[in-house]
Amino acid sequence: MLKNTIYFLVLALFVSACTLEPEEFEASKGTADFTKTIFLGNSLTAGYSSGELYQSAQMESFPAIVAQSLIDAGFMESFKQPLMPNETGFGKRLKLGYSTDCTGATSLGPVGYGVDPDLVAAGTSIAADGPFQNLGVPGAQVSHLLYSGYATLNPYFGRFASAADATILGEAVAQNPTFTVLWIGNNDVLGYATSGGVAPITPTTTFAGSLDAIVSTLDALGSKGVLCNIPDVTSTAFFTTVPYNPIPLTSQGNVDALTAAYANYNTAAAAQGLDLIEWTLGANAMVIEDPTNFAGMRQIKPGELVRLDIPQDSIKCYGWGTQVPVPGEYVLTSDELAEIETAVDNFNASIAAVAADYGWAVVDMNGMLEDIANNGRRIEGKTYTIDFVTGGVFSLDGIHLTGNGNAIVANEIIETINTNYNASIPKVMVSNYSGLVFP
Amino acid sequence: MVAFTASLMAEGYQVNLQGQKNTGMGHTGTGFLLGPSIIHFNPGGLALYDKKMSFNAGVSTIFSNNIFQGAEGLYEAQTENPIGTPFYFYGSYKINDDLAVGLGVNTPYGNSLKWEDDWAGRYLINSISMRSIHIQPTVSYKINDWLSAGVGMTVALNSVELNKSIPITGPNGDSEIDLEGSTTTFGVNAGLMFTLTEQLSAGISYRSQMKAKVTGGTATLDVPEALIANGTFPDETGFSATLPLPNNINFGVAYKVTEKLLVALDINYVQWSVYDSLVFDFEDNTPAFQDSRNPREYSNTMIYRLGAQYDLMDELTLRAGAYYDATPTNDEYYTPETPGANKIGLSGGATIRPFENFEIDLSMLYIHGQKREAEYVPDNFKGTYYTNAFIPGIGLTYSF
Repeated sequence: MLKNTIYFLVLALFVSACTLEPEEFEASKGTADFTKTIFLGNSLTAGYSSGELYQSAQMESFPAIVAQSLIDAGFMESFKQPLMPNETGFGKRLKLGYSTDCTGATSLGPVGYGVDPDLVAAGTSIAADGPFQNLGVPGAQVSHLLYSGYATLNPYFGRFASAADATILGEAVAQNPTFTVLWIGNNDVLGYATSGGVAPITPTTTFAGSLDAIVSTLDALGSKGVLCNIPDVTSTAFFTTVPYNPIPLTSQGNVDALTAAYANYNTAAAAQGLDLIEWTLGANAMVIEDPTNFAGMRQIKPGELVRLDIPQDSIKCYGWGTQVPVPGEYVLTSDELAEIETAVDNFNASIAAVAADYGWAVVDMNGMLEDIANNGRRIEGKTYTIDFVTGGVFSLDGIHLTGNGNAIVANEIIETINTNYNASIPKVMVSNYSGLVFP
Repeated sequence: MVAFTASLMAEGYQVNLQGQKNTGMGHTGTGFLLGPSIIHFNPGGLALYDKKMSFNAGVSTIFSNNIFQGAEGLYEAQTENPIGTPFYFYGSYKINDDLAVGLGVNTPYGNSLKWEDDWAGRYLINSISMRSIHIQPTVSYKINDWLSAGVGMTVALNSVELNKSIPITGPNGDSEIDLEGSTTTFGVNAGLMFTLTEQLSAGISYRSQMKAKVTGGTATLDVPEALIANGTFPDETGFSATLPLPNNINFGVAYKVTEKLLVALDINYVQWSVYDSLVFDFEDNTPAFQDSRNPREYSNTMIYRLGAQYDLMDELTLRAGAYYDATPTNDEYYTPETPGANKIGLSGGATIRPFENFEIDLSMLYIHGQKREAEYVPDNFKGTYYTNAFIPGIGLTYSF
C-alpha cells in the first residue's frame, strides 16, 4: 500500500513536471464585431505575388493571415477565398532562375515560371462555391468596386462574380459584413506610375466620391472597419531597383565617341541654358525621351526613377540610354513624380477624411513602407528591406508582396484594429510565412 | 559510454548536478563534507574525509521543457530536448592523517536543446549542444584542527555544436549553417574548509573561469546552389569563437542541530558578466556572410541554497533542499539558445546503505523557471518563455 502510494506520487510529480502550462494570450474583440469580416481591394488584397495570382500565394494573402488570427481568437467562424485552381493562374507568374543576356552573360533573376498555365481552369467560374470573404480583385481601381459589368472586363473578378452584372461591393453587401478591411486606390495612381506616366491618374474628386460611396454603403449595413492608405511608389522595389545611371563606360574611347556624338546637342542646349548631355568613365546617366525638350530628349537626373521591367538587353546591346533615348514609359521624371506625390497625398487625405466621417480607422501603410524603405526592419532574425529579390518584402514583380510581406501588413492591420477598436487580436510570427525561393 | 549532454539545469549553461547527496540537499556542499563530491564543491575539505579510499559515481536524467510564446500572439513553440544525462566520477585516497589526493571527472557546464523544426526563432537558433568534461586531479592538506586547504587543477574538454537557419529559402526550405568545434582549457578549483566547533563548519571555494576559445571550428553551410556558385556564400569555412566558463565563488556553512540532523546553507556567486557577447569570426567572409557579434551581456548572479539531512537509521539517510537561482540573462539580449529564468529548485534524496562500505544515493530535483518575458533586441525576437525540469538521479559510493 505504502509502496503503491509512493509510486503514485512519483508518477504524479513526474507528469506534472513534464507538462508546462503557459498562460494563454487573452484575445479580445474590443468594440468591434468580426463575425463577418470582409476584405475588399485590389491585387494586394487578392494575394497576387510574383506577377500572378496563384493558390499558394493566396493562402498567404494578408486577408488570409488576419482572418486566421480572428478565427484562432474565436471571433470569426470561417473564411473563404476565391482560390485559383493551381499554381500558374493566368500564366504571368515569375520565379527566380537563370537567364542569359545579349552579351552572353548568365545571371540570376526573375524568369518565367516555366509551367504552361491552364487558362480554361483559371477562368472557370467558381461563383457557386461562394460567397467569398476575400473580394480583392487584381487591377481594380476604386471606382471598379461600384462598377456593374466589371466582371466581364476583368477575368479575376469574372471567375468568382455571382452574376455578370454583379459589383464587387455588391458581393460584400450581400454578406452583411460586420467588419471591413479596405485597401484600394493603389491602381488609381500606380497605373500612371507603372506606365511611366502614360495611363491617367484618377481625379481626386472621383476617388473621394467612389470611396465615400463604398464606405457609406457598408457603414449603413452596420459594418465597422479599417481603410489602408496608399504607399508612395518610391517605397516599392519596382521603382528603386534600376538606377538612373546604369551605363558603365570603361574606355576613354567610348567616352570620347559619345561626347562627340552629342556635341551638336550640347551646343544648342548650352545656348538655351539647358543641362548638357555628358559622359565620363564610370556610371553614366541614361538619355531619355522628353517631349518638352527641343530635341525630344535629355539625360535623366538623379532622383528620377526607372521601371524594374526596362528591357536590360536594350541597354546593354542596343544602345538604349546612349544612342537611343529610353522611351518615356520606362521612366518617372521629376514632374511625373511630383504629380504622383500629389495624387498619393490627395488620395490619402481622402482616405483619412472618409474614415473620420464614418468613425473607421486608417492603417498607415504609407508610413510603414516608408519606414521599411528608409530603415529596413529586423523581424525575428531577418532584416526586411524594399530591395529587389534580397529584401524579402516584395515579390519578383517588385510591387506585390511575399508571404513575409503579407504577414508584416497583416500585423500592421491587426495593430491598427487593436488600437482603434480597443481590441486584442493576436499577431502572427512573420517568419512562419514564405519568401522567394532561390534555385 | 554514457551520453553526457546536459541541459540548462542551472542558469546560464552551468550544470549543478555534481553529487546526488548534494543535489538532494539543494546542491549545497561547500561548507561540509558529503563524501568524495567535495572534490568538486570544495577541495579544501577532502583532507577531512576519514575514508582511506573511496569511489563515487553518479548520473542524472534530465527531463526538461521549454516553451516559447510569441509576443502579442498565439504562437507557441517547444523544445524537443534530448534527455540530458550529466555524470560525475570522484575517487579519493588518503595518504596520511593530514594529506589526501583525489580525482574528479564531471560535467559542470553544458547546454543541449533543440527547438521544434521550422520554428519562428530558427534564424536565432535551431539546436545547440555544448559539452564540457572537467578532469580535476586534486590535493588537500589539513593544516591544523580548524583549517584544511585543497587545490585541483582542472582540464576541461569542451565541444560545441550549433545549428541555425539562414533567412534564404532554397528548393528544400530555409538555408542552414552548422558550427562545430572543440577546445581544451585549463583552470583551478581551490578551497578552504573551517571546522569551527563540533557542530559548525564552513567553507569557501573558488573555481576559476576558463575561456573556451575554439579556433579550428568548421562552419558548414547549406544554401541554394545558385548562391554558392555565384560566390554569395562559401559552402564551408573555418571559424573561431569563445565561450567563457565563469568564475565561481562559493561560500557555505553547515550546522549539526542534533546527532542526526544537519542543515546547510550555500551561496554561489557566479561571475557571468564575463559572457559579454558571442562572436563568430569566419575565415571566409563575403558581403552577405560576415562575422557576427551577438551581444549577451550576462550579469553576475547569486544562487542561494538550503539543505538538510536526517539520519533516520544506520541504513537510511533522508535529504531535502531548495534553492533560488537568479538568471544572468539580460532582458534585451535574451536568446532562445539559453532560455534562462529565475529558477526555484526543490529537491529530495536518500542514501541507502545495504551493506558495509557501500551506499546508493538517490536524488530527485524539480526545477520551476519563473515565466520570463524578454526580447533579443538585435533580432527583434520577442516573447514569453516558460521552463521547468524534472531530474531523477542515482549514484553509488564505495569507500573503506
